[in-house]
Amino acid sequence: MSAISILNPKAEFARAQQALAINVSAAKGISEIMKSNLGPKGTMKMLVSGAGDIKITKDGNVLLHEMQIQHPTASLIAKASTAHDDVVGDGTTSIVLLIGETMKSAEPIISEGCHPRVVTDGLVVAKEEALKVLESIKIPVSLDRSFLIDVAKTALRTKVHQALADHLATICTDAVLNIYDKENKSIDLHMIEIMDMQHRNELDSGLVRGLVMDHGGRHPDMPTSLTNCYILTCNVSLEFEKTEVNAGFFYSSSEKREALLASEREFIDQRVQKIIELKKQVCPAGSDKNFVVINQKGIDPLSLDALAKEGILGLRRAKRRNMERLSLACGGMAMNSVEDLTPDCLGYAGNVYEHVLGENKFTYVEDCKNPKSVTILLKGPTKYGMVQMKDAIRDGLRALSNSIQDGFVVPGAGAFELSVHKALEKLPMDARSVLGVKLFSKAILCIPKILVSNSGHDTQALINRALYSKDGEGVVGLDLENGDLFNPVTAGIYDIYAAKRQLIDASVVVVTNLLLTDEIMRAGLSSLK
Amino acid sequence: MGQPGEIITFQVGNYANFVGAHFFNLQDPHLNPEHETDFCHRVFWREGQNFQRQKILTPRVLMFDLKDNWGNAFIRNSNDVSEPGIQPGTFAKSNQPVKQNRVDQVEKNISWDGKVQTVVLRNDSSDSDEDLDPLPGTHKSANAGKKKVKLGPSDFSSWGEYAKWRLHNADKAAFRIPNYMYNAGSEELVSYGQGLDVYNKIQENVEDGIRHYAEDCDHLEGFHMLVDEYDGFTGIAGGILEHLGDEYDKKACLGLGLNHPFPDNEKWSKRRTLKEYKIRISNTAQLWGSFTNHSRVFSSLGVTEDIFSMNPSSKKFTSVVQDCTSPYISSAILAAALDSLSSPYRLHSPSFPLHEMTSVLNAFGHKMTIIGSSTPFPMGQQTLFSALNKDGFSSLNCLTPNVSLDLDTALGNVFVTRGINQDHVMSKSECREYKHADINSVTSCLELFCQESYPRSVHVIKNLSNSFKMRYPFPKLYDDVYLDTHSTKKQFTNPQVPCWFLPALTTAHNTPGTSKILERLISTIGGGTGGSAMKLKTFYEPSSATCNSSVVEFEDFADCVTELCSLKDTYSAE
Repeated sequence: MSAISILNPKAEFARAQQALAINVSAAKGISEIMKSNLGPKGTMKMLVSGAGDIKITKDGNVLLHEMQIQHPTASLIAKASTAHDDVVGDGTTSIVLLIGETMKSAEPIISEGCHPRVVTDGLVVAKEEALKVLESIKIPVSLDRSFLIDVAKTALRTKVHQALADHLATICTDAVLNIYDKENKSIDLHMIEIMDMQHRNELDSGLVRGLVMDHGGRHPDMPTSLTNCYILTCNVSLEFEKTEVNAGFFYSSSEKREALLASEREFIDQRVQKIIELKKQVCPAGSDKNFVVINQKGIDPLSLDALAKEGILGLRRAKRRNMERLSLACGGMAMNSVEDLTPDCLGYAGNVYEHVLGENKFTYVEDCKNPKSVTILLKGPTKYGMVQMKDAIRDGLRALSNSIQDGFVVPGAGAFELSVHKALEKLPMDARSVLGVKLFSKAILCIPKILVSNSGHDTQALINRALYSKDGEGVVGLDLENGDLFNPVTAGIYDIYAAKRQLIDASVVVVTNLLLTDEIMRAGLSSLK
Repeated sequence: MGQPGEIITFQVGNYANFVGAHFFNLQDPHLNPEHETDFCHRVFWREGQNFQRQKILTPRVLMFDLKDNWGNAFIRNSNDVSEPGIQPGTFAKSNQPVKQNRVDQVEKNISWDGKVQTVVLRNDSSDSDEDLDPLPGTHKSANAGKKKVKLGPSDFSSWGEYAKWRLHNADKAAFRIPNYMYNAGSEELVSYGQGLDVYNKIQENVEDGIRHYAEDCDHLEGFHMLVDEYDGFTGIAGGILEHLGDEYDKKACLGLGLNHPFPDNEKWSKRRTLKEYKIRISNTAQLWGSFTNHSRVFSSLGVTEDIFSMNPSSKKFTSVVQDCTSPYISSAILAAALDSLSSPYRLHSPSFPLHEMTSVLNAFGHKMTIIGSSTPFPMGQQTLFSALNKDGFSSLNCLTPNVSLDLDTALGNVFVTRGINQDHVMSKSECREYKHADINSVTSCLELFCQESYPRSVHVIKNLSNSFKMRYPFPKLYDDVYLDTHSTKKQFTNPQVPCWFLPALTTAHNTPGTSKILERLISTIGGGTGGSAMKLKTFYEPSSATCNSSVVEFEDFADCVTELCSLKDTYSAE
């Protein structure tokens, strides 16, 4: 009987072997699920929600978030592996698989009576060595476009099919290169807007060097296509709004009320007039220049009418986020009042036009001089496909921004894992850590093995060739296309440095914690239901 | 004043969707075409096109409910459908095996022994009045033309089954809240903190949905906010209200907290523990706190006797024959009141837009208002004049729990009457008797009565000629005799579907009596001058334990109670 039941007779508990068995079975279970999804040749999973919504994905992060994991250990593993996804954006599945494999191999050793501490100490030694290998094989990143496209391709091919992945990789790379701040060496991914448009084909997706907004002019006489435009972004109400404070009580007569309303109206008209004056100043009659107003607040029909008469395109209720992006894409600044409008506040775009799709209008602001904010326009015939693409783009962008900021990438296609195995096999070690190191060295091979088996080649043959034959010397990767060995660097397959570091760190930490658990008890306050 | 302004409605929570489903059913533009009524549908409905380029009207609403409560409702958008005005409810369960024995049982009980024929869906909007609802209380199904019959309130356990409208773009306007991340067992959103946490996750989409509607409006007038007051949806509402306060500060926002009487079943019995009670009360407090901060006027509605008791049971209405603990029935009573109250600002040329109504009701900073309703207004064969003389406003039911309609002390009253015939104001003999009184209309009759009975208050009286139409799928709340006595007209759009035209009176009051309910709330959770931080903590802790406590910190909670205290003080200042 466990001591806890003396303290709390209601406690549920599992001890020693039983506790280990629970943890191992959870880790094995979750890695069994994710196994088939690893790598560019992995299969997909279809998630059906209670309401019947469908999501098809092989992104480990998405899977772990959407599956209802109830087992406490499994959910811990899921949380640990997705924790860094927001930053790293890749490698979630690998972490889960490595944890599962290490746990699986540790179980017989501990069952034979070895103290878990011995195993975990060895794991720490193995981790240090693995990180040394990582440092030795990393490759510095250049800001070369084709190199970055290769990095993005590697990340994207594990999420969507190859043709689409290659297309999206180019888009992601161009987007990131556009917004890369060379002075501060920083990348703000928020400055890349992702818009979806249910239209045509996935491969029609593209990068707009400017902005696309999901609304258009609301007046029939407004121009739908303009070139050589000044852009005024503002947050000024051009809408007739009623006075609010207890108006109902205090009008003494209906004339007074009318007068008050008229003066309100006039107030709005004056604002519109100020904008029109500015337009006349910067676009003198006869010039080929045009004027666009993009307002965060409302513009009512009378104001729209006044603008339309001057040939100004007015957009109302722009997204707050877009206001910031607009001034980055077109230049100029967002104005909060019409009092001090000067031509300096205006941005510029070579081309502004409206695209109508059924009921929806889209306004493109393109050909900006030096856009610091761009839009990725995703197109596709189905909704679930677009969700897939959105998740993939998100990871692709993160992969790029991480590798630029790390300054390094790692040869992909299993090369890193194979090198770690080789290094660990050769590592001179003391007797105490030998169990852990051997265990980890065996476990890390699971990733190249699964990569090969997912692509339908002979696992043993290829892995043994990579490890023990002459072809396998130096840094080699697995050519999943032909079931052969190749140099990942010449093939242009790179993994993210941060993701690999994370793989080693996170898995060893989680495994250590799980192995050292000798008792699981549910003895907290009764749950809230 | 010109055009009426558009209003965006939020339905946050399961019960709010029940009320909203009735509310929009009552306004159904296909049953109340604009040339027959004075109503301008543009206020609550958005004009759009389906794929056939036909004009369709869909409600301008953003809805939030748990994933499981949707059933199959609104999986399809309005523009996927070839016919305008098709009933979404008919799709509600068509993909699921309908409980066959229940259908059989219902089929036996139909008092219709004629031939039952297959019903083809309407294909032309012009004859929409004729072939809707082939049988009283039946529901036609599009399922392979096979007839499925639904009857009675117990059948409508989900709002999707009777909502006759659908959304234009369900992707932007319908938010299915996944629940597993919090309470895998109970499948519910429990506390304000959880709600706020969920809101933070969906914030971007919600804001985009609001913006999408707002961008479409020429004169955005304001917002209607229907919120479940007892569960975690309060937190979602809190998040939305804050956004509205930031972005749409000049627009009027009418907040309505809704309460559901707890039925005697297992699902609700677990809500009767002390812990659940404390969470519920703190949810209410936090919702009211954010209403106080960000809405123009708010009220609490519910056919509940006492929302501060462990077991909020349903109020007794003398004439209602249905079981008020059913959400389908109780929500209908609230929706009827809301329908009448909102009617003055739904007119083509509104003399009393939302922002004016709110400014009457929130004068002196009295942000909380009391709403009363009498549908039908029981005049029987009497004239309005004699009915008022005899019973006054005694037929008004107060729909705000825990307070009484204290008209004697009220500062400002809004009365909305509808469907009272001009001829029924005064009889000829009464005219002769009270010749000096200048009564020539419903408005002047009420005005005189109010001035004489309650001389201290300001009265705003709006009369509309359109009656309240009680017709399926609105539940038949009263028995036939009662309805026939008080209705002005009974019409059959089809030989079997009766539609009663009822006179109605709905009121909203700016009254010091409101402080009672606020005081009750504050003393219950231990705030205010006599309260203690210890007691306040006992309400904060169970609620914060359900979620990441950093979402709502104790200071926030205490601030919100302080906010309510100062709201209460505005009432006692006079």
